[in-house]
Amino acid sequence: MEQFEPKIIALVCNWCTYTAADLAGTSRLQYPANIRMIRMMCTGMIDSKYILKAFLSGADGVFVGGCHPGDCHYIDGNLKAGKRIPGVGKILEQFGFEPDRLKLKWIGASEGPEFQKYMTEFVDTIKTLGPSQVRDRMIL
Amino acid sequence: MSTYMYKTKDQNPIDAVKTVLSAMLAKSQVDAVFVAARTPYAKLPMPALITSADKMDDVDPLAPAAPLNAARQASSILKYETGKKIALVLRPCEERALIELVKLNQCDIGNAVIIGMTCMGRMENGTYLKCLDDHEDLSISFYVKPDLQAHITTTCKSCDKFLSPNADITIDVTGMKDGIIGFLPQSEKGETLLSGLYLAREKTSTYREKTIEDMLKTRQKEKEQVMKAAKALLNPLENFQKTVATCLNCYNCRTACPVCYCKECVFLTDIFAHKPEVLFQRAKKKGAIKLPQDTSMFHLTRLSHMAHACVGCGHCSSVCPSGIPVADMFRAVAEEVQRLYQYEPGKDMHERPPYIAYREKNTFIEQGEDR
Amino acid sequence: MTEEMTSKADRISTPVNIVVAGAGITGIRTAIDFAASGYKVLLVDKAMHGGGILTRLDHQFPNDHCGMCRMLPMIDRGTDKETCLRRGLFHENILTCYSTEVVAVDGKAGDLAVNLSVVPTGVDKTRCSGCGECERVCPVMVPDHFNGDWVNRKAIFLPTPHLSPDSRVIDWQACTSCGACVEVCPTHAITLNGEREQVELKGVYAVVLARGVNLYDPALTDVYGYGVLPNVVTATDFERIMSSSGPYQGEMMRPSDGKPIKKIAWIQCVGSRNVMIGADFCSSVCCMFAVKEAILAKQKMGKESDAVIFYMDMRTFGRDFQRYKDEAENVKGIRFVRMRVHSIQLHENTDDLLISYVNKDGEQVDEIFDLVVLSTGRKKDFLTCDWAEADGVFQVDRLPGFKDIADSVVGASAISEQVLRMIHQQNLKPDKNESDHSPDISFVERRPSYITVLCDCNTSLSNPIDFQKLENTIHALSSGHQILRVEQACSKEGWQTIRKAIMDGQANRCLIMACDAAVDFSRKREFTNELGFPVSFVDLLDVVSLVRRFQEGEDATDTVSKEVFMRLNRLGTRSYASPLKQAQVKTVLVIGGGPAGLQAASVLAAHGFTVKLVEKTDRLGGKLAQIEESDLKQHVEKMLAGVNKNPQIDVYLETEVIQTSGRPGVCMTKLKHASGETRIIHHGATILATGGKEVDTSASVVSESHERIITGFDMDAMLKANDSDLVKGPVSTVVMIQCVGSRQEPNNYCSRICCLKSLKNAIRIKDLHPETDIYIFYRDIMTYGNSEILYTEARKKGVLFIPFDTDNPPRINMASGAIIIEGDDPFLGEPVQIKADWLALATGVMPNDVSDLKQVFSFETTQDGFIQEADSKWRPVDTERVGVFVCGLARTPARLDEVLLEANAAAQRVLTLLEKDHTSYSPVTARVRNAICSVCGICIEVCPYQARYMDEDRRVVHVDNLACQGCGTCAAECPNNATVLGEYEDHGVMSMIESSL
Repeated sequence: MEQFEPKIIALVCNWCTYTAADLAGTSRLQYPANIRMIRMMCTGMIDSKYILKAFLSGADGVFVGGCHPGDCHYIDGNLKAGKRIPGVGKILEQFGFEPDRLKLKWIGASEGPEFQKYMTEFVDTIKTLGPSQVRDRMIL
Repeated sequence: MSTYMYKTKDQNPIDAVKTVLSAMLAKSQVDAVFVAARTPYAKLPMPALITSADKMDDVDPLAPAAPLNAARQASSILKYETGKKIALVLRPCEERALIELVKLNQCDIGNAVIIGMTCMGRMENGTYLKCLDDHEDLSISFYVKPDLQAHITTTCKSCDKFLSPNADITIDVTGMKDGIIGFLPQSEKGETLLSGLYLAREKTSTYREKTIEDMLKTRQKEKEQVMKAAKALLNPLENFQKTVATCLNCYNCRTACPVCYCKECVFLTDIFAHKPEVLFQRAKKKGAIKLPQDTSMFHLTRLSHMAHACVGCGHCSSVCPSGIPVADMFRAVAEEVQRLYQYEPGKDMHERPPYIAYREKNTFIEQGEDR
Repeated sequence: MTEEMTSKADRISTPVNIVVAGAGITGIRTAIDFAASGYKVLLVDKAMHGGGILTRLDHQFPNDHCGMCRMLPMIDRGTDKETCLRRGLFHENILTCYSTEVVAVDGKAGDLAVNLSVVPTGVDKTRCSGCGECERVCPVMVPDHFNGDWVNRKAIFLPTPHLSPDSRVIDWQACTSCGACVEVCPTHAITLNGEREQVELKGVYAVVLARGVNLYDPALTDVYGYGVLPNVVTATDFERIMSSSGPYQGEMMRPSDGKPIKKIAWIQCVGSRNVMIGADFCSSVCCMFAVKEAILAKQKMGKESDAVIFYMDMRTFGRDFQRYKDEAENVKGIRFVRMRVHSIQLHENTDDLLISYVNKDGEQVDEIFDLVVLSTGRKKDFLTCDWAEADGVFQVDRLPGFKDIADSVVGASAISEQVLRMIHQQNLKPDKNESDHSPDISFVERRPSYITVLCDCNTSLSNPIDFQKLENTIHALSSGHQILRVEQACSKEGWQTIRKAIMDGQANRCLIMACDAAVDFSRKREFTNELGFPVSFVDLLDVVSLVRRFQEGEDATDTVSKEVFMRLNRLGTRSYASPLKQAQVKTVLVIGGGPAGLQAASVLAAHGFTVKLVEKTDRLGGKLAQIEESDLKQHVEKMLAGVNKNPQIDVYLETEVIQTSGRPGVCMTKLKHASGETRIIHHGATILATGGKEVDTSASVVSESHERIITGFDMDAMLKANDSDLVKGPVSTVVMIQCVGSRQEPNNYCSRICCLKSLKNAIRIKDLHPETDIYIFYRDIMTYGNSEILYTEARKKGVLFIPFDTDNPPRINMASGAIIIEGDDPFLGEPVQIKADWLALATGVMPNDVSDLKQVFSFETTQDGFIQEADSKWRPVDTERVGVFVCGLARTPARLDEVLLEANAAAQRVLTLLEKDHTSYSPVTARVRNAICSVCGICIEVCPYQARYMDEDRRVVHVDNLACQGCGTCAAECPNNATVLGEYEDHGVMSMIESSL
């Protein structure tokens, strides 16, 4: 059987988490290739639609990474995400998407190792969960 | 809460309501009344704005039918403070929706008098018209004959929020069996209005409490079952796909939804007006796609916009041309989302929607931790 | 203009208006100030990197957060690459140049010749792909000083962990010139020539000297065994131990043996406040620095950990610092021990450290620590340079000391203002602003036509890419996609080829996939400026950093194809909107006619602005009478006279502000005179300088009044009057009690001036009557910075200092008619009873009531009624409302010289906003599609910048383009996308998401 390679989307904030991701890269901290990183200005701009779209389009997991509370460039965009995203997760859960497929983490600019760790952990989690129910199915 | 209510004597209950509303207008207690009434051309009661006390003939707020949730119509009159005092006769689900619309800056009810009711439910339009053929006095007999009550919608059968706690006055129909209708003041405003109408003041019957209690038990039991069944319609996603397989993307559900307050749904905007290339790409990925696209996306997105505010009125199901049990599904999801946010729509005008009150009840702040 | 000057003088092809020497926080702030006003800035630093000490810290006090990026331009942010400041400073008007010194400055202000000495980095940034092969092959290992020398680095290395683009630099001292790196470099970017080069710049308007301070090296004193005991570290070294980008990746382990750290001691005032070594100054920040480190360390160490701070005085003199320290002590469990530690010893045969001391109760205590942190401050000697006093050189501080971030930022902007004042008075202009280039219309309003440029130079890629497969992916998107393969997109030839292909192929959407060298911020600028290409129609994909996370050799084709696919799809959704511009009203409303307001008004008038100065009372000058420093008093008096005569300043006395509307740049405000008459003024910005007042809190210690119990302010006044009893004498005993009614709830902040006042009063009395006994009861003497000399002098003159705690304050007994002060002397360990002729109570200051103004301008206030700044560290004189600034006592307790500096800084912020006739906005700005907007107002509520407002009349929501910072929260909350964020429209983002799967 072919090994399951999850498709994961990481929506990361431009300021802290993206910097951490870059730092991880510069420091040659390897993390799985499955992750497609999409840079957002702020986690606060992550529309519920993005997450729904990702899952309905076949993402096996969605990772959201933002600044630690208090560090947000836009004062508190991360807190807005912190309120909004669990709601989307709750909705997805009702449709059979396991809650662990959606993860929100705060990762500071210097936390390259943490970025690597969370990414690796997340990929492992998704691998354990197996493919998303959307895979290969025509979604109406 | 008052322990007494006002009653009219020796009148048929519908006439009693009319009398009260006319009196309010005649005494200039209010400038207008917003209430369901039959139009000259149809028997279905539609919301009407009445300014003249002698135009009460067709008023029919107790008819067990409501082709639409009146909150949106009410909000169009109450868009902003006009100085006019309006009495609104609303079902509990309409009242809750109206309160949500207040929070969304869609209307101002500071000057309104809300007249709610102990709601026994409504029938689908077709059912109502059919019943009306057999029962001319349906608006009264409905409250007397349990077999007629069995015809109400699934949503209503499983509705446990059939009281109007935020209303100034509640129309009490629990005594209709004995041909009595009561007006229960629930605020100072309501008290003042009613006391000026020369109605008889009596102690609230214990019968009312008993009826409500029984109703609640039945409804809750029913709700449990409906919700359980609804969850199976959603989960796993395959079930949901089966459920919405006949969805036409007509967006009737969102048009009927009283808390979907957008002028134009995002699904009608450029955001979802895909270029042909995109459709080709999608087709290529799966080999085949169904058109119109974005059916699931629509329902999930709509949930993400209004699940916290869903008042469970059931109108989305009523208007679905494909008979999809939209309301059951949405209520099931909404219940979870509302629990998550500890938010009860329509409960308190001053409670801010979760996305605005993002600093409150935010586990990410309270625990300093992430999901 | 981000290309680093490496070795050749001709690299500086663009003219430089202002040179900023020193790229620490101060230098960065001034550089941003100038750049925002359109001036070309060369920012140089002797070090190999910018950012100064802050690059070593992840979090800063007093909120334990970062947020450095909040310093970036708020206005005109489109000219700036928006990214974490740790990665570098990218602004089209700023050229950064490290390992570079200014060696000579000649000429007159406004026209200077500046000589620079440049040490080449050895790596040509315009060619470097950041692959890092050079570092891998370098055979030289030297201790990594950035990381406390605990780990090694190579001779060719990244000077800071976050640097972007991540071009290495060569440490010439360590380099053996073996040539291994030159050979391995796939892009031939390395030259092994470390010789200094001289560069001369001409026609420079001004030079700013932001030299910062030398850090004290504790190895020099050797009392605490630094350099000998491996687990004795400095505070800045400790930052690296805690940092995830540090030598231990954030694991709390100690250097000597990697043992987990569970118990740490901080020793304050190492190298500061030490007359023995001639350090008669306080380094000002180390107390707070230690508290912050203790809090963060304790958090990291978890339960069962201990953090102790040994101190002499906890100098928590900032507005919010006392509460921060109290929380550390009472909530977070940090222990504070008032004790000068005399030595640190090794504990038995371990690496543990033993500190012995006598505690409050007189008992000997031995404590064992895993690690001891020395709170080192600045060195005694200042960094000097020959040209510091030359004409046209502006020094940020004549006597630089350590300062916290807020004070540094204030000082920086204050100096920017002075530089710009000189420039304005000489009528010098910035060079033409490149951001004014508007796109060629032939690129816009056409259906998308794509070109994808693939740089063939994949030699620097560690992972193979199948280009044929990649091309197929692109073609599959739709027919008509052009693909251009170039060799070395970074080279001149490569660049020409790309330009030609775009022109010939009439493409209007362009994706360039190459390495760092070819696809950086400046390239995007070139597209805009040279080709007239709309900036949002071009996307640059740095393929090297994309595949860097892969294992070596792993095939990257799929990932790269996906990424290209995503980016092209997104480009297709982009549309062009003409840049928005806004005219500005060059008038400033200054509220408050005290020293801060006068200073701001005079300064702004000197820049040519019209000022409307509004004062509530019937006269200007504020607390002029109480100013003790004669030079400052003269300065304020002079300003007062100047303001009254200046035709550009309209003074409105007995007037209050009652209403305001509009947006930054264009506001209307209604003023009301005491007579009831109202008038409306038009202005572009507002400065709140509402000031403060002394607060008489003596009632908190004395129940009845007594003619010889006075406040410190009263005593000061008496000492100035020659015929007062205090001056005439005789005076046998004077007692002063500090912190009366302050630094405890409800006024739990340090007023900053009371310690200085008491010390000055005490010294004056001692000068007048040397025989007088003076006792000062104090909690912590707050002689921060160079004012420490007052403390030393007072002690020399025999003033006796008796510390007390809030739980055991001195008691005043007036029963016998005499004034008896009873307290406990912890040094003697016994109660003391002093009969005083005079008792001076050091009462503090509080802000004037601004509740009415708060309603008008909707700013926030602290719990003590001070006006809350937008960010206490990075934007100290901004309020949360863009275009409304604050300075002076209205914001924080401060000395008069500090107040005046704040006024200058606030004036500078106004300049940034109003200097240009027009301000343009970033394309990443929110807009409202009113036709589909339901006016629910959610967007207004969630906007963090108050950039949105409701027009109740027309029932539409407006966006204030200057205030909007493009965070996109509004768009995310708007259910039907009636509000959208430029360049982040939902269909673009969603198409990226979809095509990535």
